[in-house]
Amino acid sequence: MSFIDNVFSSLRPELSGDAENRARERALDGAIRFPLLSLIKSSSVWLVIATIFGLIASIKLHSPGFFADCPILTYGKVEPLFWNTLVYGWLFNAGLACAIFILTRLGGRSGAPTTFLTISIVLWNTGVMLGVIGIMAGEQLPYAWLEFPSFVGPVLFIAFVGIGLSCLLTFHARVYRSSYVSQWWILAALFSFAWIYTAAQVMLVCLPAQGAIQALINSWYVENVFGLFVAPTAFATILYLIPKTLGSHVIGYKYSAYAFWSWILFSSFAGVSDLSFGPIPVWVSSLGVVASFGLLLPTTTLSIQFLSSLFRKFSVIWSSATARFLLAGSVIFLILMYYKIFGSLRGSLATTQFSQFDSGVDLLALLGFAGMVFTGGIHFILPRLFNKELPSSTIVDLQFWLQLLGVMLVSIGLISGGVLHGELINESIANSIAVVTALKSGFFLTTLGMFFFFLSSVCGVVTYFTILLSNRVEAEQSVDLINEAPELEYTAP
Amino acid sequence: MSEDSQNKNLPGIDEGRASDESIVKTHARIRREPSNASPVLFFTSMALITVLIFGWFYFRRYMGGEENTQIYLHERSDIALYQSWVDRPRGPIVYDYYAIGEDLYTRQACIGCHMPDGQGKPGEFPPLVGSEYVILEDPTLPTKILLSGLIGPITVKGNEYNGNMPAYGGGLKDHEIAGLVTYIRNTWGNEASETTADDVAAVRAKIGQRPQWTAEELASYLD
Repeated sequence: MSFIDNVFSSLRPELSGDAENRARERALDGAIRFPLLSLIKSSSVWLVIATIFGLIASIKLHSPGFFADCPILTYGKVEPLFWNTLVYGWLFNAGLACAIFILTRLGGRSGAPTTFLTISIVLWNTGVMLGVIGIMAGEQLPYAWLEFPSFVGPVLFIAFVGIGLSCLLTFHARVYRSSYVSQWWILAALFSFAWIYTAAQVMLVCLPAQGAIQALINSWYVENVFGLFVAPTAFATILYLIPKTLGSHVIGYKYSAYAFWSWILFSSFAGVSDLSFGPIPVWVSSLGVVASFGLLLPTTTLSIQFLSSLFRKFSVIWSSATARFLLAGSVIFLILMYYKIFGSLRGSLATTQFSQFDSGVDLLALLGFAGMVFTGGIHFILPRLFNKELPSSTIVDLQFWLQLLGVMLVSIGLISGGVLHGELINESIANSIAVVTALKSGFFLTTLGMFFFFLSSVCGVVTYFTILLSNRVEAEQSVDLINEAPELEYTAP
Repeated sequence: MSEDSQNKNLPGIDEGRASDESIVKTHARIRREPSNASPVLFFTSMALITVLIFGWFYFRRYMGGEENTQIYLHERSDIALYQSWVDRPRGPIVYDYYAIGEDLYTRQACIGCHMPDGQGKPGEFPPLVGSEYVILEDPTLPTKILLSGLIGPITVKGNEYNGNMPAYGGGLKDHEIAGLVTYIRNTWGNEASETTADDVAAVRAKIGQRPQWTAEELASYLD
């Protein structure tokens, strides 16, 4: 029975000590504790499920006999299951957890109707689960990242609108009237996803567009899920946690608006460059290439902001799990944008277009950049929600290194393997067996990386459930466990 | 968790080093400060300039003329053709008038009235085969009719016709008119001289914008 007691004590902590200490923060965290916990729990569990699917899919690439007799685990099902659980299961839950925490903290008051928000979150995860079952049952749709059967679309949409409305109410209820750049990014992400999901569902599922337009809409949607939802939420998280964990202002904050507007403008067009050489007019993909290249502008501003702020307080990075994840995410962001910008040019696409290169870059974006940042954010949030310490910093350490190693192996395997892949299939006498044999080492590397990533996701689940179920020790019964944050130091230049 | 298993470098709780209110207020203050030179601004401007230069050249390269925007590059062989078209030696254009005319005769409205065999329809549309309006020594007359159209009663090869041929001068370019004239004068047994885009341009300049011809106006050309 002690587990149940511990859960109750985790969910409704009765703390002793000075009631004035962090009174406002504790009230805020208490108001959003339950929805945030359900988001973080879902994200951790979905990550484990997603990495299992990813592991099976990557094993099937070099050993096609693996699970060959299992009709619900064919490559054609496992591959979309992996991407969809990764995006809608893990990243949306983790990103929305960070977003709600940031909006509540920066606004200084929680306006979210907790029950309504929790129901929306449960509905979202039910939708994802129905989608997974649907794909396993063979009901999948043929569009990348939209493979969930058509009845899941409205469920996810209603759930997202519910979560988004709660976020908007929280923003509306804020007491600090000035806004911070994280709030801009989060609001942009919420509105953008509602729009792109509606547009894609209507034009691909309800009233399907004809012919090549479908491919156009699909690649626009896939790029925008990253560019207009996942990346903005990750930017918001980095930009909030930099002053929070480092105790210094964001360098070059004055130019945030340039980065914000140019990112929104360019990334919404960038996806269609994938279709160069495809059956669409040349000017469409040219627009996509120029828009991808335009991302150089926000990338420059944002990476200078992130990296120079982080390097200025480099010593903190070794004594803070969160800042460590942020640094890894920021460095990966720079590498990722290099591949995205220069990979969209026609010269690169001539080699990489039909290869594994794109999956490598997408995984670098999702697992490496956004995943690192959200995991860092969750490590910052969890102790504050429970008023408990992270159960073991060794596990946190392990999770960080496994995740970094996994991302490196997966992306090296798929990106450099993808370039080789493209070169081989471009040869006029391409022999497909020879191509697959040549790519095997890259696929083995990917499998190894996915395995490390799976281990790191297990670390995440262990952290979550241990902190939820562990006994509250004496220090954790006091409100003095977490120190009150000082004022941000700043002297005008 | 016992003390000794803890990694001393990583605390169980990441310290918050700035309060939320001060984060919002300090950064709002930074935005209000007057702008001054900063590396972020410098590199952002450099990136903006790079993006503009790249965009300019890329659009000129791939979205240049009106013909470029229509090209669908599906196949690698198409791309190679497109490249060789872009790199082709520039010189005076040589038209194959007969081929242009043959293509247009079947694609444009011609074939609907004058029929694939050039025989026309009795009473409505005069034939082109052996027509005295077509196989003249001088191609000016058929050029004029194509440019401005023809309306009302007309006698061809002794038969009466009463139709309405619209003007094609607005829709077709000089080389296309020349192609059609050349085609109808050299098909179905017709044998007459070719005409060129320059000839058509001269006729077009001479007649200018005008309503459809009638048979009386053109009678002076026949003998």
